[in-house]
Amino acid sequence: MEKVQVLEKVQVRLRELADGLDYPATPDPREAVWKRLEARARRSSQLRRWRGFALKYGLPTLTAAVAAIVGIGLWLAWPATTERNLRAEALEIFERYEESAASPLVPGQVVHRLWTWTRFGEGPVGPQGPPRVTTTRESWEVVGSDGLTVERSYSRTMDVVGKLQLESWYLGQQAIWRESANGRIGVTDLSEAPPRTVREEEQSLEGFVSALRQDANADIEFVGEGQIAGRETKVVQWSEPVPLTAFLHLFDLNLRRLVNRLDFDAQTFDGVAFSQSFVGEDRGSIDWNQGQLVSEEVVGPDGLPAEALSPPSPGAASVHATYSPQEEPTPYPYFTLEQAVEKGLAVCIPLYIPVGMEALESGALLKDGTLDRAFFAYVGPGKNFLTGTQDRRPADSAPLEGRQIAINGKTAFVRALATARDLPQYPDLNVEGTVIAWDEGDFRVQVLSTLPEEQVLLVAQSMSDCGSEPRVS
Amino acid sequence: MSALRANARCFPITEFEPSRSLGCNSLWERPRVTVCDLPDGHLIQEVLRGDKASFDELMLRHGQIAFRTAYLVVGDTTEAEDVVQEAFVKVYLNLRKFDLARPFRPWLLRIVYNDARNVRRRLLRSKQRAQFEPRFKLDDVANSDIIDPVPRERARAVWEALNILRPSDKLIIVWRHFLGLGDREISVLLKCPEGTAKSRLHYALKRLKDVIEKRFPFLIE
Repeated sequence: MEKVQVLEKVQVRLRELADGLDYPATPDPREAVWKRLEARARRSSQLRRWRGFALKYGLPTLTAAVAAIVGIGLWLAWPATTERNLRAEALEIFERYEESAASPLVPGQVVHRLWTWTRFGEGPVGPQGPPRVTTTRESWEVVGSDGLTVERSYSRTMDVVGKLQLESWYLGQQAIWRESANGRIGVTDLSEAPPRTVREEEQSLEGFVSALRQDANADIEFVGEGQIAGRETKVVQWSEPVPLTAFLHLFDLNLRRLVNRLDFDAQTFDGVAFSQSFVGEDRGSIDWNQGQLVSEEVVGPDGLPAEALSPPSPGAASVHATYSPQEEPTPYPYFTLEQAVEKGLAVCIPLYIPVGMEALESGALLKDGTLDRAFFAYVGPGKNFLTGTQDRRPADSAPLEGRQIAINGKTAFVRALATARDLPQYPDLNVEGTVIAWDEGDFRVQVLSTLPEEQVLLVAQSMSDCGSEPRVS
Repeated sequence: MSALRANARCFPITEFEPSRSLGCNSLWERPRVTVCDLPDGHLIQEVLRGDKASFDELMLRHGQIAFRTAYLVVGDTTEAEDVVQEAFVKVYLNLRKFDLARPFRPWLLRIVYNDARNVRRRLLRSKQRAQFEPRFKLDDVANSDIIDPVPRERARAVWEALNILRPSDKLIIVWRHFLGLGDREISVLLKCPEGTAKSRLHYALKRLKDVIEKRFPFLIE
């Protein structure tokens, strides 16, 4: 059979198959198709509605949430980073401060001064007892080319009520501060004011004293003449209205600038006096009030305007000529208890502190290079307080009184607290308490508290290593 | 088709101007033109303008061939019906993308075939259905002495021969001989020139002939 014929035959068979196939009846798709289309339209309408809702509300909300999270993250990360960096710099500067405090006054040296005293303030008594007012005065000065004057000086005084504590560091022209209560950190720029020259009425001693008295709102009194570092000086006694401090200023007066070297006697809050000497420029200072710069006065050395001076970078070496100071350096007499222990001083530190008591103040004072006094103070709920002192015992000290007990193998005496005798600085204080006292070598140790006697006894027993011969490393 | 056509609503087209397009001189002589007489392209334009009745007409026109295409692939009435409905839904939703210069039926059948193929794969994968076996007319009266069983047996043999072919060969033969598509429509379906479509059909038939000669020689005796 021809191929074409075969192919035609195949096509015939295919037609037979196509004709013979029994297809099912074709259903009408219209109704079902329209139903499907309506269902899709409903779905897409819902989708559109949801999409519109998401675009209208969801997207902005999501964006705001993401922005908020990022912002909070940055806000949280920034202070931490800044604080880390600032702390590193500040620690370095503090090291320089400590070095400067223990070294002779040389040109360009940065002298840092800081002292704090705490007193009970007025106001409602909270769970931590009465409000405490911590007054902090701090300043730094750059020693001038003559080794006696100051190139630059800043200071601030701050009253902090309650538990809020504020640390601050000076970095160049900036003061960085951090509030311990909430961790807030901030930077305040310190700007300098034009130099202030001596007014005509201040060129005489009487006029200066008068102006100083008016400006400082302090009790200023001329007491005589003296000589410091080969220079003639006038001696003025300066008593500030703060009840626990008294200053004696020796100052050098010329027509262009006001320079002073100050020796000051200060008292701790419980009435212990100690001395310290610095070159100072109290007239050129910054008064700080709640973090705001309210005034500043800066006097340059030798009458030069402040703008001509190098920037006040703490610790930076001066460009001025060298000067050999004729004064012996004054030893740094004040340490915290921890510093005192590190320096090898045998101070009494209580190892047991009753629950709820919070540290208020502690320190160790030196006299002639040896330990003269150590003290600590704690306050707690219900106006309770706990103080301890370790004083060098005078040769003619009165014998101890009270009920005899044993503390760490030594004889001690327990008696009731007598406010007029034990707390003369608080004559109106009406409290009941316990005093435990004993002698440790050359020192007399006394623990005073309004806490129950058993607690005071535990505190006293936890104090060891007292009374050894002090040693300064 | 007749059953479908019986449900058709061949209503007059008001926008249509028969006097101009059909060359009528008088209003009284104007023939009554219905939607059933319009070409696919015009109906699609009407659908795009929002006329749902025109889409109904498209479904009526091509519903049967679409259903048979689906049925030949999936071999199940319900599944084929579902495929056709879904295909028309897709057509409606994508009608704006359709090129009016091209024939509508191949486009529809391509959609139907693709959907049907997917359904067949799903069915085979889930083993719900074995190879499709078509029904032949008069199957129910197969044992009757009145009916000559020879043509039916020949048809079954041809179907078996078709199943031996490659799917592409079987498909083009089915399009041409079972669904009656022309060369142009097949070329559109295959996305190739018309000559190529003819050539592929020829070679598919030739391979079918070879199969028949080897396996079913009685078909060509």
